[in-house]
Amino acid sequence: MSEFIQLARQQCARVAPMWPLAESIAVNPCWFFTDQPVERVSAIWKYVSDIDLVMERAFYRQQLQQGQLDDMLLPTDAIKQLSEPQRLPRWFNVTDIVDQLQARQRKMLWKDEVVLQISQFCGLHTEFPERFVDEAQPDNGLYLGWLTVVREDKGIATLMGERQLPHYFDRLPDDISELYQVLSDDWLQHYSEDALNYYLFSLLIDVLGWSSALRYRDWDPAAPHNNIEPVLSLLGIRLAWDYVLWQWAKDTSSDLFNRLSQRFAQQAARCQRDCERVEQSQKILWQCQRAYEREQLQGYRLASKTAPDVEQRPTVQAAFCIDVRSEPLRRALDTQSGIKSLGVAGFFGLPIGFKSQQGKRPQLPGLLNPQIWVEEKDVALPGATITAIGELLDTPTSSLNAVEVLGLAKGIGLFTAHDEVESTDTPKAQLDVDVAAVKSELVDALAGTLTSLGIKQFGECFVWVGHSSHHENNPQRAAMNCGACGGQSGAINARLMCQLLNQADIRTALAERGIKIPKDTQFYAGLHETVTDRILPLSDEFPEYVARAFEQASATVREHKQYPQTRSGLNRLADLFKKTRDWAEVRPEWGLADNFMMVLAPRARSATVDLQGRAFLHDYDAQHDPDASILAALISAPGVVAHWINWQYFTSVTAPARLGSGNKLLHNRVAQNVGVFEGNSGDLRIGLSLQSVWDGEQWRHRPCRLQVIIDASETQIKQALEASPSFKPLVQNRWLFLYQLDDEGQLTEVTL
Amino acid sequence: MGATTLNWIQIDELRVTLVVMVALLSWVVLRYTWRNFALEPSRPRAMGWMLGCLVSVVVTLVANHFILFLLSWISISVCLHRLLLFYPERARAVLATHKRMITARLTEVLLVVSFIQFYLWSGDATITGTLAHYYSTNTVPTGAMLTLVIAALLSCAQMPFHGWLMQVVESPTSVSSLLHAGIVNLGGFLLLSFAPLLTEAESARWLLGILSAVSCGLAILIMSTRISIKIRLAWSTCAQMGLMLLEIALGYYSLALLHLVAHSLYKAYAFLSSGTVRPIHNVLVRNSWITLAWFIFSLVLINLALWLSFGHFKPTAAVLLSLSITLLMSQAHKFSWFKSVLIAVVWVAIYTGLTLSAAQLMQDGRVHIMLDLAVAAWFIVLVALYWWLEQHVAHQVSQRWFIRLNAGLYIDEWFTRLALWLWPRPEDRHRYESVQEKESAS
Repeated sequence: MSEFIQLARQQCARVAPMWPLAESIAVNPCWFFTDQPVERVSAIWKYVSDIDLVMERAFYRQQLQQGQLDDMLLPTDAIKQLSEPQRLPRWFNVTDIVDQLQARQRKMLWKDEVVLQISQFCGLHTEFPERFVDEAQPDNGLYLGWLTVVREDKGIATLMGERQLPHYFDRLPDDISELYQVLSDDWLQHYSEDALNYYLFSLLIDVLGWSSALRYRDWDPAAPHNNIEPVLSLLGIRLAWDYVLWQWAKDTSSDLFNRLSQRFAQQAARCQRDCERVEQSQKILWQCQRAYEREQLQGYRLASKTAPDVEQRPTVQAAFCIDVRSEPLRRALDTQSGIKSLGVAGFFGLPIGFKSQQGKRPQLPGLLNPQIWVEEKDVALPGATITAIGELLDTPTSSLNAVEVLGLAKGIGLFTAHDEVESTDTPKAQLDVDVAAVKSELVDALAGTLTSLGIKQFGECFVWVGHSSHHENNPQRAAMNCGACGGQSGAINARLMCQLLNQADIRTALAERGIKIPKDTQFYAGLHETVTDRILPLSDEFPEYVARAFEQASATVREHKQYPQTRSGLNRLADLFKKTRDWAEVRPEWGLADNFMMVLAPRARSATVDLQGRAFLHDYDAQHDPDASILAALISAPGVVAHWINWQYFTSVTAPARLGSGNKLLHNRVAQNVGVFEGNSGDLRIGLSLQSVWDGEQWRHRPCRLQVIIDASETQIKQALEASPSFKPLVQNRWLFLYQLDDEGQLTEVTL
Repeated sequence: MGATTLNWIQIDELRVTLVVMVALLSWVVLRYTWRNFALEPSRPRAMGWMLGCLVSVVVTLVANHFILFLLSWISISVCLHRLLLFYPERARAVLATHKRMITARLTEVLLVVSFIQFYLWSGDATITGTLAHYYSTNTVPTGAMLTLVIAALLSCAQMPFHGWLMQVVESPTSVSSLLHAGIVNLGGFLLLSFAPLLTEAESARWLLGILSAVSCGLAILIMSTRISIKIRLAWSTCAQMGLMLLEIALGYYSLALLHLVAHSLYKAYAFLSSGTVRPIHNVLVRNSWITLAWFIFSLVLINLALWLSFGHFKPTAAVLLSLSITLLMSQAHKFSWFKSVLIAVVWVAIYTGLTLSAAQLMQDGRVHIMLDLAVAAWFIVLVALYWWLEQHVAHQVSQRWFIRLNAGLYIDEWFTRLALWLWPRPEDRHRYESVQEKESAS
């Protein structure tokens, strides 16, 4: 059965990548499953690893009793179905079965120890690549490295209390393809392809965190299914562990082995039926989920279309990121006269990355690669010497003495304020970029953004507002920054937009493309700091009336928005500001929690409606998009990003222990900051921490799939869907829902 | 003297220094915890046990009577137990707590045994009384000192009793900070309390010196092979505690006090700020021959300086100081030559200034030149080994040692087995039970 390795490859390609901490962006962990119906995928994940992709029965029972579900969408006996005790079949790997069959009260459990061993090894491989790189066989590196370590390891046999164990590692083949060959010839040849698929995926999910991290290695957004060799090696390692245990059981105890092989064969024979049973039993849950989402959607009614009156030239325009946190601030601005806000993906279409002495970082969505590198002009990085001296504390030979010399000085940090993030995020100087060399790319990008915004007239003052979360000491801070900017602050993009659009030659080039910017229009850059909802200036100071308008809007937001508790219990600016410098703060803000819908429509349709900070808003005017090409671009870029964010929050609530990253108080940064462990046990963690979605009493994020509302004709919507192959299956397979907004403000679901 | 006068507490420079330090740390750590646990229902529990722990530490610091000392010592242990088991559903937290329990109970027994011996020897159940008896008789109870030294080694989590210190990262960050910055130091304080006696207890000094030097050297090498921030910090604590005990064994009591305070502040900061994403890496030594030359040059210079100012050599201190200077100079390409020399000079000046200030607070003991030389030689061997490992990453021997060190030399596995043997995983916590039941029902 030579195609066994092909089956393994296919399963590896199903794992979604995970970005390292400093560039962390939201990802739907099921992204490569979206070609299948969500209900089916949920059954698979539940069956192979007990991971929930939908809430539990108790949750819906409670919502039903509280009237939070739309009865129309539920069967009459819903409450009865939700109360029935549930007994679901599950797939078990060899490690799990041996743990169940053996008496291991006085020994470590196989599953725990195997996951720990693999996890620690992957960390070692990531932290010290120079020790494991084999130039001759780069693809084999991870597996070979693991073999070297596990063969050397004298501890496992002691820990597990099984003296003969090391012997079996010596017998494993040295090459990864050979390993797959041996496994298929020697062990797994009798099982059906279905069973093998469940088995392989179940093994991968045991180490989902590291699989995801390795999936990111060599990640190329343009060819996501290439470069799966590191994951294939990891799967090989996990398989090898099961194989070792299988052979060890065979040689050690015939009773154990008989029961093990019998149970394994039984589950392999009935896996397809078992998984269908899980799907059947989850049917009611998905019905409830739909009713839950529908009930909430009915609470929002967008404005009906008004006759297009002759539009006054606005005095101030402010373009914000589509991020849900912009919505309350924009609403507060739009109620002021002469101000018009706009919504666009927060990287403002600039294909850039940022270079500084601390290294390179992307400033655009994870699905794209930077084309142009921008630098900061004349920034003397303070403390390079201090950093170099501080490193003596990390190095073994010097750290013993360094503690005596530097310890007291370091300790001063215990008593001082922590404000590094804000102080490094708000310089106003011009950015360093060779405009002449990349002028045509830049002008293309600017023209694209301005066109997709559908701006008819430019006001006197136009502000590009990026956003960023200013708080300290949080390994997952990137999750609260701008997702469209690759988990960074949007400041660089806002500054560059302002810098470019104020240049005469750029304006001339844009005018040649039919975008006329009046001479008296002045561009500014600002930063929406999301912990306090301030708007900080990033260019010359704002004109006084603009600054006043921003301050007033911020104050309005602070009056009405729900923030995580402050030290004083109040939401005054001063109270919230303290959070930005508080290194003990684990809930600086609620981030994008409770995100629920995406509206692609002219701002007039949503400006008067309180969307409670739950909506991604992107300006879109169907009248200027006859062939639906702008719409297609919107759903396949910002649409997919919003879906990833939505599913990261969704799965962090449905399966906090597996698809969320657990308790922030236990987070422990790992190997080159690739991610975090919870404590030091288990797998690398993916997703959001419990503190990001839970307030100690209830979920701050109501688990709902994204509801996308589009103001366009049905034909245009269908046309756009045909043109976006990544987005269409999301609608088809119910990973999100799509509605057409009609002139009266009614919603009609678009189904395929 | 006399058993009838109950001198329950005592205050001196050592104790005032430590109480002030603990008070500052308490303020920071409690404030941090309060905020960390905002919105968590477990907030009062965390604050309560932490406060209990800190109050007990202060009582231990000022306790003079053996009974008060023991009671507060045990009280720290009980409060800490609750904090380490803050998430009892975490299997590895439970395991780590069990491992600590073995060490903690053993320490308490040794402490009791040692105190009883002191009492039988001096007829007084206070620390001051014991010291007074020593000053009047000029004899030392060797057995009691040996027991005391072992108790200190255990409570400072020295190898092979170190495992729990690494694994308690299964409890919240602020608990780690409290433990690593405060509680684990108590072994050092215990010995400093009996410092004058220790000076004369030759065998106890050898025992303490050798065990702590081995533990310190190995732990610092192991640290450099670990992959997560908190575990690196924990191994570093193990090594730093080793150095503190070593300095005590060598008679440098004031240096040990300086080390205790400086390390506490540094480690509290390092743990509490461990969430900030910054690169962690060992600084690599570049050109090994020049580095070696630098090492020898600074070693000679520093030894000379120490000899001129103190009238005798301090080999271990000189080696460790030279290592820092060498590393600084090998990084000279990052600064300028002038700047690196300046930094090196300032470095030595700070070190000298701090040691001289510490000497105002605590009287040093008799220098033990043989032990000192032996330890200095041990560190030189280790550094040579480390430099070699680092320069030859591809070599088979290097790789083998790297793997061994990374695994903590396979010592802790035996301790895990012991803990599991004493406290088997309870049946009802067997995590597959519910699943099995589901299965059999289907």
